[in-house]
Amino acid sequence: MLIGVGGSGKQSLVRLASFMYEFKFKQIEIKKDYKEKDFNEFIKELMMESGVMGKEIAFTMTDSQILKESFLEDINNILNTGEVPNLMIGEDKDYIN
Amino acid sequence: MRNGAGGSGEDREWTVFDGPVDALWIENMNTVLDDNMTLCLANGQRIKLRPEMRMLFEVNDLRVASPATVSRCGMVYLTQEELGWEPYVKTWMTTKFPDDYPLNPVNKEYIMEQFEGTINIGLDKVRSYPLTEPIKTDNLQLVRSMCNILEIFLKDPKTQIKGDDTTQKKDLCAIFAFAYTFGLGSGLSDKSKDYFDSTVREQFKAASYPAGFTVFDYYFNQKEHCFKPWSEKVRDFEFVKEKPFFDIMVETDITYKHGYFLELLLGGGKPIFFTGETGVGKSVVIQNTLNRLAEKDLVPINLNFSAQTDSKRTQDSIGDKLENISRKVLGALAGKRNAVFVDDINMPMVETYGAQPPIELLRLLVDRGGLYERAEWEWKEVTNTTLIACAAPPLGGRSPLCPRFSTNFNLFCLPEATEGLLGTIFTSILGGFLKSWNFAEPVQGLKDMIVGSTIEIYTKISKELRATPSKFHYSFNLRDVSKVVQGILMTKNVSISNPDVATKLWVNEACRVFQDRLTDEEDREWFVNEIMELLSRTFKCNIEKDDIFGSTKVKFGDILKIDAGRVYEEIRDQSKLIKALEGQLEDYNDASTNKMNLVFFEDAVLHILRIMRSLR
Repeated sequence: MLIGVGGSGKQSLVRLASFMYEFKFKQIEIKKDYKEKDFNEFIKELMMESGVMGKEIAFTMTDSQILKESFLEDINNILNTGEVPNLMIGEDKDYIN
Repeated sequence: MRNGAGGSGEDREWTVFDGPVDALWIENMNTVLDDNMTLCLANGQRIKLRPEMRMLFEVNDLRVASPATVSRCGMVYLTQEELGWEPYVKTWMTTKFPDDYPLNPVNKEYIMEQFEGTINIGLDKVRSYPLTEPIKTDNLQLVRSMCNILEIFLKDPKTQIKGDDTTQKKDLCAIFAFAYTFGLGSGLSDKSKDYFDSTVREQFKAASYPAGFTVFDYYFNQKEHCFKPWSEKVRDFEFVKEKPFFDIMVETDITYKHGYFLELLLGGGKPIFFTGETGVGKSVVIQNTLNRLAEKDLVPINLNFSAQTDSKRTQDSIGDKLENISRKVLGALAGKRNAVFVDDINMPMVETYGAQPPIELLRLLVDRGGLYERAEWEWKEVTNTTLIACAAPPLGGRSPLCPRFSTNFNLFCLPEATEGLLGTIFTSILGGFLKSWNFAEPVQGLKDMIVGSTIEIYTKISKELRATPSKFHYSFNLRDVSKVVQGILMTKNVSISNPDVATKLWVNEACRVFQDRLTDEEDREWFVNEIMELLSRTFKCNIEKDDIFGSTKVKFGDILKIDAGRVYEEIRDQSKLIKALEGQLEDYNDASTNKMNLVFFEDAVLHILRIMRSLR
């Protein structure tokens, strides 16, 4: 977790560091009416890319991107168990298999 | 209800409401509970109850029930004191060991005698000052826990008592003492266990416990008919080069003991609860045991609770992994068994009226052995599934669990690791690492100092720099110690050629883990002084303060050799470092549309090294 006043370059440094390790830098893109469903979709993509295709990703999230508390719940799940319950539905599972 | 009201006949019908009552949902029932006997639904429908219908509410307390509800119901207050443990034990004896069960009637009588003679003394002791339990239990729960252990022992063909009458009696006494110790005393805090020790010894003189450690440190060896310390069972630690750091586990008597009980109780299908402070290794023990058993016939289902967990999510996560056995039964495939492991079980937020919905759901699962499927609200039985819970004692975001839930578990409180034990654990990891990668002899010699100093600085920082509202993240736990060691394990022998570099490496790792979290100059300065003091006292080396904390600070990173195998090493040449960073920035700007313009001053460089260290 990086803490510091706004504009101190936290994100820029992360971008550069992940570039050096050839990690893909990913963030959620907030648009109007961003809902839990959009976030779920994002996490799913993230999991597909990292888990299925084996890419190394630096997923960055800023405090302004936490629109709903449930986002944190999902992230907590990823950090602790490495999965988000009920993220994938039938067709996703078929695709993975 | 509707079905009941539409029915006919003279049979009585009961509707049981099992769970907490609050002032909201039950308020809608007011009309149905009084003389009107009419249920008014939100959609305007009215259902008139037949006189044969009754309602029964089963609750833990009436703290939040409104007088309107209380006055409408007749109350029956059941206390444990009145019931006592005797009826339970008698029922247990007759149902688990019926007359045709091959257990000698003499032995049965002996067990009952033992129960009568010892349980009350043990229970009184557990409830007396100064013994404490991090998670509250009730007397019946303790007796039940004990019966669980005893039952598994007596029923398993491997541990069934054999031999002539005198050996049988002696073994039985020892097994009883063993079940007594871990049934009644396993939930006690570390110090309380020492007090409980004498109680057990006094009452089970015939079990002949060896002197030396407490009764909690022994298991009963049935082949040799005597108690042996758990530590004898512990395998020596072997460092495996390829194993990722998080999978390394050093077995100790504590992890072995609790892993053993987990396996034992899982075998008998009894729910288990592990508690203990953060970082004592609760989850690790459970995970390791489950993984080991998964190779045989166990299907682990892992859940992690947080403040935001709700009951629907919980049910989805569990239901997802259960197999459909038949239309009304969920469970495991043939020849398999499920273990639902819920970590941080006491995290869910407590709602206004004091209930935790996910907990109530799990209570249904352990208490009633089933769940209501949500689409049709149909009862589904869940078979072959055992619940394992794990949580630190309630404090902060953790709330006390509903007693009606926690009473179902065999509770184990894992002791906090002593400094000596921590030293052994981390020295064997670090020593194994240094040795297997052929680090220089003098560097290997530093392992005790590195581990000792890390533990010392951890103990000191968690004592002196406490969390306050403005520094709420000053919470240090054992994971931080392991992170320092993990940092050292990133290096290769070529880059750490002499003890001086190794010492600097330790300083760097300790700073990254502990100092980077500190928010003001005063705390940071305190930390620097602690480090310097340790360097001169423990390491006895003459590194100057200016060398590592001066205008250019000690730096470690892999940036100079990022393309050549990412060697994590000390970076001395400042200009080379900046040149490398600038080169990388140029590449980045060439490759991306969003150009960045960064100046690499000292702090920026340090920050980027910190980020890279975490990303590695």
